Amino acid sequence: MSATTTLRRLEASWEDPPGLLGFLGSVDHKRVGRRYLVTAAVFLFIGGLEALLIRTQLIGPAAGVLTPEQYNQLFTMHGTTMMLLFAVPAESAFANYFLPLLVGARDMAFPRLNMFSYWVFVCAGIFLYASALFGAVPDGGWFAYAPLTLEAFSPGRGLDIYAVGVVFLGLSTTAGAINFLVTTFKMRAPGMTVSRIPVFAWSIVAIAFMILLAFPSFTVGPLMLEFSRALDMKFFDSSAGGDPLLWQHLFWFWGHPLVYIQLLPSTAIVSTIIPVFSRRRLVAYSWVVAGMLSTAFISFGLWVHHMFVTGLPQVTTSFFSAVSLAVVIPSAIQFFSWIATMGLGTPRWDSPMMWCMGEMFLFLLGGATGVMVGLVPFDQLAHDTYFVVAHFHYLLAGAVVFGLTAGLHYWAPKITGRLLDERFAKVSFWVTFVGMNLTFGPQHLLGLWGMARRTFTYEQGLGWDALNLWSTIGSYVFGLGLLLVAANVVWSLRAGEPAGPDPWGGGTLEWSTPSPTPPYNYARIPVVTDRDPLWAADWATPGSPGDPEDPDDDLALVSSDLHHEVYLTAGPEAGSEGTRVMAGPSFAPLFTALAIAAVAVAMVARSPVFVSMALVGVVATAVWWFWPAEGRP
Amino acid sequence: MRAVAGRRATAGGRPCQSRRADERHPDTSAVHAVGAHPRRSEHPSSAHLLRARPVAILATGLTLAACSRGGLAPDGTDASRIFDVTVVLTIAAVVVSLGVVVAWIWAVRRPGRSDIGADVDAAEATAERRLVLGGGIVMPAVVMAVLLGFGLWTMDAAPQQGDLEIEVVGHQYWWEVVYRDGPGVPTTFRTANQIRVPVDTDVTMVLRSDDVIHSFFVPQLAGKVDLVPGRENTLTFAATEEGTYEGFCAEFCGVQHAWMKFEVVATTPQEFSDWADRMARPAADPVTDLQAHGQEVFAGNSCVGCHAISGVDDSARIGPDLTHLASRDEIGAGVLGLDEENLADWIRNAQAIKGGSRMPPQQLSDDDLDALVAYLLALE
Amino acid sequence: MSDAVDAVTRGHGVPATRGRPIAFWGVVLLAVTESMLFVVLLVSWFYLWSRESQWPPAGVEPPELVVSGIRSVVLLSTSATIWLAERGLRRGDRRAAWNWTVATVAGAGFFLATHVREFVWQVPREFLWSDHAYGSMYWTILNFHGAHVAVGIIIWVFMLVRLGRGAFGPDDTVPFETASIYWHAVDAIWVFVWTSMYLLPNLLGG
Ligand code: HEA
Ligand code: HEA
Ligand code: HEC
Ligand code: CUA
Ligand SMILES: [Cu+2]
Repeated sequence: MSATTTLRRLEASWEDPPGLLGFLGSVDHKRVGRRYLVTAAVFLFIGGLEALLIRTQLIGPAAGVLTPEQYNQLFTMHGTTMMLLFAVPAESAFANYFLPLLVGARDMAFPRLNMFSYWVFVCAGIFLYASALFGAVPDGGWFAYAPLTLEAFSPGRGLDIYAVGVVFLGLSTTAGAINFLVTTFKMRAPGMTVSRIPVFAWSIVAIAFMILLAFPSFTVGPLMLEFSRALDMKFFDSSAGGDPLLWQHLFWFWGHPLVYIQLLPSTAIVSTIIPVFSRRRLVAYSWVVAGMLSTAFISFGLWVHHMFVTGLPQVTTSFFSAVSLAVVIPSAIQFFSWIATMGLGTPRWDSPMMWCMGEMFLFLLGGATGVMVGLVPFDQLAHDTYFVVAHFHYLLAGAVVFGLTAGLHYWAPKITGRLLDERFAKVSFWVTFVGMNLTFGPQHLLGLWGMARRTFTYEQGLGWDALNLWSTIGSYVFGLGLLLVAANVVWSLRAGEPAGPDPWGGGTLEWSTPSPTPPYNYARIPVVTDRDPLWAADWATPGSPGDPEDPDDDLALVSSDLHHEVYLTAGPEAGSEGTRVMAGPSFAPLFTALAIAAVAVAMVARSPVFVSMALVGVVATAVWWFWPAEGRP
Repeated sequence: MRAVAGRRATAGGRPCQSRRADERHPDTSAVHAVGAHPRRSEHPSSAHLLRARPVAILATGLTLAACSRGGLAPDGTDASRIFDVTVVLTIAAVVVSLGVVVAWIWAVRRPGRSDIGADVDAAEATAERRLVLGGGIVMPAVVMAVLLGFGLWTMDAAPQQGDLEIEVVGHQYWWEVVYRDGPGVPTTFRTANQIRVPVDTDVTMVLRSDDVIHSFFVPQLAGKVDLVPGRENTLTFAATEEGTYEGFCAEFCGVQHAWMKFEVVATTPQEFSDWADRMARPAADPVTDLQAHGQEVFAGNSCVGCHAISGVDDSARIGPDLTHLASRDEIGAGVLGLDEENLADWIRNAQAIKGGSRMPPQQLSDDDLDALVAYLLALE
Repeated sequence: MSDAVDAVTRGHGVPATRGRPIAFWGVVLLAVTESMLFVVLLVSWFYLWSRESQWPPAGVEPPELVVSGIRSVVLLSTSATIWLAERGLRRGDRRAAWNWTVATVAGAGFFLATHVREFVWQVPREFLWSDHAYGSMYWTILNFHGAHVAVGIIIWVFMLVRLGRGAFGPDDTVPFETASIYWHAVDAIWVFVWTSMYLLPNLLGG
């Protein structure tokens, strides 16, 4: 076979079929990744718009822009949207698109499950926002503390939608985590030993484990809440043997790991970009990886720092205070690895690098305030004030958003095939960066002065007016900055300069493919002999794995009957195991997701009949999914 | 009579006008800043933190000009303890962050190499490992150990039990306050949304809730503590200055969480026990005919179903105790100043002022309402 | 094809290995997160217990041990039967695979039927889920587990149908093996559920 026929056959095998099946049933991880990215961005803007409304209400004392009910709904939906519908899916977006590419695979381990995750995520997002249509928007805050969220104090269906919606969404996240893990276990290119796995892939491994161990807690908690509301169960009712703090334990046992689930991929993006633009390999790679894994581990031991003022015994709070400080160490390792990498190399200030610098700065400040609230006495002052709001926005709207945006600037050329406008990118960086600090900087002081969060108004004469005004102006600037980023991406789709396969001189495998990456990812299964394969001295030399002239069709793995054929490896050495045919496009994941959505709707409607019918639907669609393809028994 | 220490004092001083949430009005008398007065440099109560003093004084000097408000202007033992921690932590955070930034700038400016594939020479390898392990493990470990030790030490310094015990029960969206007999308090009495304490006396708040979780927070006096249904938490502190201090609910508790405020008034022990004597007495009898009619209206309408006025009917606990309503200067947990017009507005339709609060609108004739207001305003 | 690739990768110093199938890892990870679900439920159980002076609350007898013990033995023995079914399949004895899978479904069916009996005829006489936190936990945890058994039954029936249609054989055991991982997990979880909810209240309760 000639090289061109090989490519043509690969394309025929891997391309989505035309029509509805290709569109709704696609199993192309890149397509799923793109969808995740766009959907998460939409939710960022929805959540951001909510934030702007919140900030507008707080522009001055006693402003009458929103009613208290609307305000409470807005911050609840803002928090829930940003955490669950923006941050986590945005990470999934990068993981979906780049994890298989980074490890040199052609597909995810469970392609249909992947599409299923996406559909569930979309349905859950629509489900949560459909609450607005029925005038039953959740309003209990993103952590929905019982007993406020029980039927007695929050009648209506708002919190049912919240409780059922987040469980439903958790399903998507859990399925994604299993997929990412197995992809990294089994689909790495031959020779990608454990010590050659890219840091970004490691961060996904770390968060996937965290998801598997943390999310069950956020399945059980909201289900208990829903059962309490719909069936009058008594888990959180102190007059019947329950305890309101049980909810808080369940929530934060998930909620704390969640914040590192959001953070780690974003710091790993920084660890990916800095070496490329400093022209030095990442210093202390193994320490960075160990740092990420130990963050994942430690993160399960500090949930109580969100409950320092609930009246728990001092031994308990002291212990969790100590663990909260211990978690600084793995973060610091990453930070100093970046510093050392830049010190050893010669940094170049392209836009992805600028966003990385922004990420580092905001991470440093947000981390420092994290250490402050980690000490119990200070938290007694700062808890539930704007100081905490400032702390976590420096990390979320700061570190996480800036890290992801750095990743966007770095990888957009790979996704779209076109470069963003550099000058425009730098302007948008500075606007966003200034807006970020202007919004959340003043909130530190407001918090120390005693401004409580989740208050829809404040009085005149407290001296809070000026700083709140600045904060509101800042949020508009912040919004403008993000709008500029979006505009740049949209502009580049049509008018950007063609990027070529490797505009930045990256070292990881994805840069060896054309941009945008073809449906089959790699024309030949890459064989990995170095941590940064493209930077290996012998890459692209005759006879090497990256030899451009080498028409080694054996490595191309062309399927004779146009199946999705992939190559499996096993063990820490990624020894070669053999080929396997993956599932192709199918409608079943979409319909299973819809059936599960029907269960969710039925639960909120509190109709046992409808719930049972929907469950039958789930079983039926699942059987359809797993029913073997035609021709096999 | 009351020392002017906080904004609250101005609430009594300014012409009592409606202070609704949805209305903006110029406040010319606004004394900016709660407690905008110099912090006393020596708190006898926090002498145990002597070692932190020099830093604290330095930082106080620096921040006083602009920042001394709320939690940064402590006038209570617990708040001072926390303030010292705040100062130390702020300095530590700034110093460490600056140090990291310096290292970062150095790294960026250092002429490096850019031969990406090549091996690193041994000297450089050691240098970089030192940087990563020193900065990433040793430095934070030391800083964290010191800060943790300091934090734990100050936690132990918190007093456990005060001389006077005050029971505070959180309700959506107001505070029930119960004084049990003790130093200066002749017998059990109830009030709402205002807590009086004698200065320089350790007071223990016993915090409970009957509905949802609330949080008791007076930034200038003490750290916050939650009120959790089914549990009893305590908070002990002493006010070290006379004055009126802004307090509020810090845990989201429903629609009107923002208007669940209260004030803590610290007076001399003598003034405190005078006040307590007055409060322990049943409500003043009506003097004028109008007031007498007002009392009838109160007793004959739904009011008694929710509000207690001792001497009239002391059984209801759904709403705030009104026995000495006129001795307070605000109603609706801070939403309105107490005057005739506001009180009438409130009784007629509290929902229009504080939508979602648990007091329904009342159908009363204008005459009845006038009488009721006259009666309530006489309950000093 | 695969051998040819092997040859090339070996040329680059990559050893050949044999690992577990993809589906194996998928189901193992599923079992991990499912187990965590029950860990969280049981921790909640013990947490609420630790706050009560009497558990079960006054007027509620501790759960009985004999019938539930028998049910437990039956459920655990289905782990053995399904292992036998797998072994039959690996040896090419499809008849044995069929029989042992039917036995598994029967065991699981017995367990589920007695579960339904417990929650339809016995428990409601004593307490409802809305009576107290103990009742809420009892109903929730046990029915959660019951739901897992029900899903297991559906899976094994699905396997039986495919087996009957001629699927699976000595070199096509992966679906069977992975389904049995789920099943062993459900059984193992039951050991902890039973110990925490039936045995310990009898030993420590009152
Ligand atoms: C991405 C999200 C993210 C991240 C990474 C963190 C990181 C940390 N957080 Fe934060 N946190 C949140 C998101 C996050 N947090 C959210 C959302 C909430 C509130 C939720 C709510 O109430 O709604 C919260 C609340 C919160 C609280 C509870 C506050 C309260 O409600 O009263 C506490 C208390 O301990 C805390 C601590 C910490 C600590 C110690 C870290 C550490 O991991 C930080 C470590 C990092 C660094 C320190 C920087 C790098 C280190 C160096 C450069 C070395 C040098 C530095 C030093 C020596 C100091 N966080
Ligand atoms: C990833 C998480 C994340 C992110 C990115 C953000 C981003 C922002 N957040 Fe938020 N926030 C939370 C997570 C997050 N937040 C959480 C968890 C809470 C707690 C909720 C609770 O208490 O329950 C919270 C609470 C919270 C509060 C406190 C509310 C209160 O306690 O009363 C405030 C107030 O200032 C705020 C502001 C902002 C602002 C200004 C942004 C900015 O970054 C937003 C930037 C702006 C945009 C992205 C807008 C872009 C769009 C446009 C410019 C318009 C485009 C036009 C069209 C679409 C037509 N957030
Ligand atoms: C159904 C219960 C209920 C009834 C009936 C009721 N109230 Fe109230 N009232 C409340 C509650 C609850 C509050 C506290 C509201 C808040 O601040 O959120 C309150 C607050 C008040 C206050 C302000 C007290 C303070 O210190 O803040 C006054 C004055 C008052 N009520 C007077 C009356 C009068 C007069 C009547 C009868 C004409 C009446 N109430 C009837 C429940 C009731
Ligand atoms: Cu009570 Cu907030
Ligand atoms: Cu946390």
